[in-house]
Amino acid sequence: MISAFQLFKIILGVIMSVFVIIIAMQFSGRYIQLGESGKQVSTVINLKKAIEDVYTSGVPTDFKISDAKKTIEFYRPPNIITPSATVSLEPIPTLLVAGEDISIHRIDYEIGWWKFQLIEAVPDTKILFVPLTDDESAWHVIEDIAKYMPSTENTRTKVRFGIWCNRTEFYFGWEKNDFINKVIRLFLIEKRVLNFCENVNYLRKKGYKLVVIADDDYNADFLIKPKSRKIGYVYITKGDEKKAYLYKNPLDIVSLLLGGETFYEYENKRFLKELGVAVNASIREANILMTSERMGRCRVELASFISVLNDIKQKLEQMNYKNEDDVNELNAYLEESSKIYERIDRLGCG
Amino acid sequence: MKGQSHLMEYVLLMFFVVMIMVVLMFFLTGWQVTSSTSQQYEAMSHKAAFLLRAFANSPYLNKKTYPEGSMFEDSKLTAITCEDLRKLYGSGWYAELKDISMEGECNEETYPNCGEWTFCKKKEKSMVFDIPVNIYRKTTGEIHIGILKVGLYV
Repeated sequence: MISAFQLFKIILGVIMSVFVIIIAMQFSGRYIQLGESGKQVSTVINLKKAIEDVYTSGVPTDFKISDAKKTIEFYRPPNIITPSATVSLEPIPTLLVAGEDISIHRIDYEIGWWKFQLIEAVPDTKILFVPLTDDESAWHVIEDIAKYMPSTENTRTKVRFGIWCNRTEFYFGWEKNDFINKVIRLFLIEKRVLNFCENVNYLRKKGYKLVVIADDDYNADFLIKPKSRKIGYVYITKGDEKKAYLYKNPLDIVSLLLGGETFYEYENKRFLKELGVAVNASIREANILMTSERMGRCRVELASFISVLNDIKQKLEQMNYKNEDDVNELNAYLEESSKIYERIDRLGCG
Repeated sequence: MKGQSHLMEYVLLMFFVVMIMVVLMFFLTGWQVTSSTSQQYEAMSHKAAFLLRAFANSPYLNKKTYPEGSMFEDSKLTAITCEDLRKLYGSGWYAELKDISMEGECNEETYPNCGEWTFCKKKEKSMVFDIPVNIYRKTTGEIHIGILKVGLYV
């Protein structure tokens, strides 16, 4: 027969045990969650460190993101959004396409007196160019796009290019250097009649990004219509919606290809912001050099350089990168500034 | 009486068990806080080191024909301002560059007979890193040795 005291001990013991177990389970549950979030944030911080290293050194590298879909919810430049935190990649301009294995590269866009550096971090990517015009401008556009994509010869993760659908045939597998130096050279010399791909859905399922270049309207997910050597329009079709984006240089096309409108807006704003900084600094530098006796032989060219930089500065103040006239004018000034700088460089003042 | 003392023993035992658990939880939480503080310190030192590398390789500050970096050009250093660098690299830091063979703060009036450049306001409480660098003196074509110092506000 259990005494009252023994019964009391049992009941109190059970209550206390349940209480202790509940507290312990809640605490360890939160601790595990913290550990899981910590692991995700730690992965993203390591990714940021890898991006910083590539940005400062220019040496590309591979990076593995374990459980990429859970770790990175999405990338809204310049922020990587994880389930528990947001990590900013500022001040490095970065186009990041998440994947289990990604390759990080620095792309340099140079116009003589200024260099814009951008990071492209992409997983295995397959790009198939479909030029539907034998106009030379199509091949120049293809060359320009390939030039500003990562060169993955020394990384495990690959960006590969291909060309042409002759109804169902296509030629694929080159990395950047071979594609530019061998394939495009060949097609620039030999003009061939080209036909659209009939197996588009198959190619899409296999993960190919089709880039169609044409003079006319075409029903394609990603269509480029060049207007001149430098500018044109990219048409992106998603379902029933078709949107047009003006491009002024190949970086705009690459941004659209990798991340659509979000990347395009981000890259344009960052490009124009850094161009503004470069213009102001270069005007001051040229003025400083004008006053130096040793730079006397370059005074005339420096004065022309300052003049065109001031034109660029004024243009940037009311620039709309979606307006064709603004973009044409800016490109003309940039080309002129590049030519003048080349002369300054040849005179030994660059 | 005996029953009551047994009861009190029991209650006291339970109390000590719960206290030990509470102490353990405090200890773990405290360890987490300490660990976060040291991670914060590590993050700041990493940021300072990044700024140092970024400046040493920046096309806005370095001579064009030296892609490996660390060849600053004196005219570029004199032309660029703190506001320009803030737009490129954010805020919360300052930088100083000193040519060891020349003196005087560089600006449009003193150039090229100067050897010190300061970008943004220096603060006493900063985490500072420095490295030796090369400075190309544009008007003479000479290369001088300099020290680049980057400080992150703490």
